[in-house]
Amino acid sequence: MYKMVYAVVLMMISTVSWGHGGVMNEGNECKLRVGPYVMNFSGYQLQKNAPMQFCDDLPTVGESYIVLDFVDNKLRDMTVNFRVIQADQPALGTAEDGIVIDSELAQTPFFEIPAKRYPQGTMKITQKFEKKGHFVGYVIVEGENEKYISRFPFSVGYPQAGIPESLKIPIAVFLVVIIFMIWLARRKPVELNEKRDD
Amino acid sequence: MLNIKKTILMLIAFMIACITLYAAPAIAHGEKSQAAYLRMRTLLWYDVDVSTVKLKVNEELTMTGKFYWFYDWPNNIAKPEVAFLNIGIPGPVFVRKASYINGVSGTNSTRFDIGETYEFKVILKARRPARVHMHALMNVKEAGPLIGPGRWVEVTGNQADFINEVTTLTGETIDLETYGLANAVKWHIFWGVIAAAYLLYWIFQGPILIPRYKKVKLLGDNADDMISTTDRMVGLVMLIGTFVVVTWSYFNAYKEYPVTIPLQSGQITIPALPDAARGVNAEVIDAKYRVPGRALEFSLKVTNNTNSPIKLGEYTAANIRWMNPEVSTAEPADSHDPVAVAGLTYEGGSVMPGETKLLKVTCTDAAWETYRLAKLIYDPDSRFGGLVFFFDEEGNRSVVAIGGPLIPVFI
Repeated sequence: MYKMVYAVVLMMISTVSWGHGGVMNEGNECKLRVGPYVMNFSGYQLQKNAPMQFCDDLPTVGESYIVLDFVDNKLRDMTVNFRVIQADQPALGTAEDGIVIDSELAQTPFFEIPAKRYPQGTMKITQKFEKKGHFVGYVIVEGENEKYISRFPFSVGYPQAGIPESLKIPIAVFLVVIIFMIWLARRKPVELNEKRDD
Repeated sequence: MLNIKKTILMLIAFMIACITLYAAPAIAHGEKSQAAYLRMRTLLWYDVDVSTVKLKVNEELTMTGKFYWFYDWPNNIAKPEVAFLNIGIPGPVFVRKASYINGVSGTNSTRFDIGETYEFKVILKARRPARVHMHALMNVKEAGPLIGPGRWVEVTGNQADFINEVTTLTGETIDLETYGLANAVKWHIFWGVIAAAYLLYWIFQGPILIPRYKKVKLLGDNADDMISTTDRMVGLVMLIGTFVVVTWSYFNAYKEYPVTIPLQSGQITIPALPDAARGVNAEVIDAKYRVPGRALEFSLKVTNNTNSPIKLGEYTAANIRWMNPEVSTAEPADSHDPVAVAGLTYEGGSVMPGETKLLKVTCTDAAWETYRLAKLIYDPDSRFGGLVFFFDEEGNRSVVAIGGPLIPVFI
């Protein structure tokens, strides 16, 4: 019984944050960290999954949009280079996902948006993924005296298995209520530890 | 049966469980956390500025600006029948020396008219060193704080040097920073000790909480027997003692401070500024939000009743400004000032005197997402609001409130 309670508590805590490399789902926002700077990451597949918004992984193939919104205004004065490289394996789900690999950067990218400034703070990337696969995204920002690289593996065409993020907390709460009701139903009636003297 | 230890342990366990379950990171981001419709359709601030962004302890700072009470006020938000102009700062970094609304003292709460514009001025005195993000804000009864634009301000120096002197009605000069402090501390300690003693007395008079409840149930009509003659005597002494102390302290305070005025709690009504539209009418015909493009696109039917051609220079909503640099320029005041310096474009050109024209306006910027305004499209009532600024050839400005339903476009 106690193990079940612990499991439910851990399930609730584990929904706080998850991610692949530089992309993190924090609370209800998908963040891409590039050095000290932060962008909001939004993936859309408007023809098949509108109006859903995805955080790195895209569930189906087809025309896809990735929008990066700069949270830090300083990024508006820097150039942003976005490139995607084909990969053999999906994200590991560990800290290794975020480690920049020079040999990957040397490869000819699957597609690339050349370095450019985005004064309006939003960068829209349109790409048609013809077939499903695993990829590694790189975002390279460069200013006058600074350069930062963020790496994030993602997959296209692999719908997410398991319990959707948005349902984890409601399910956990539901389980707690059920466990509490079972406990109430099975416990012995309260007996007064003192009896009145008649 | 007295079981204080068990009860306390259970309470501690319960508190730890609550803290553990709710100790997730804060998702809110200050001014961005309020709903988009609330920020766009209640109080619209503009021309907000501070006299300085760096000052020393004891120096003064003045915040000025204007606010417009949006004409299409949301039904679920209380109207500004009682409102108070304030400044939002994390901690007592400043003291407020004075505030004015349309030149009238803003000491009291005020009633405002929907659809009207007012200007404000707040004078603050730096109290302690800090770097703070300060906001103008309006507290509206039953609606909460409506937050204005923020500015980063840095105070340097030493808090020990701070003085806040005023001259009283009797001509005495006092420092409000320390005036009456020792007396307030003395009385707090006095009543705290009395309260704690009384509480502890009852805690040690037999079972408490659930065990006491069980004992009361057990004794039934004889439950009053749990209270002894000594208990009653202690209660009586406390009651009479409290009355005596309160009465004595009242007369003592009256003797020491014979000339006082009551704390002012009245409410005033301040006339609004003249219409800032200056003869320009604007009406939203249709509006859509382009989701992947982060762009608000709307058709604006504009009628120019002035004597000069006008151009659209700015759209502002939720303390964010979209500028048309061909007509009006503005730069962010600091790293957190959301100004889209070239965020506004439109088709249609100048609107001539006496002419009615349809303008196609586009406001683009990441701020739609990063400031969470785009969440508006998920509301059951997806209506937006804001102010548009028109400028004539001499630089005269017309400020017009606009709003209407907003349709999301995903392609």
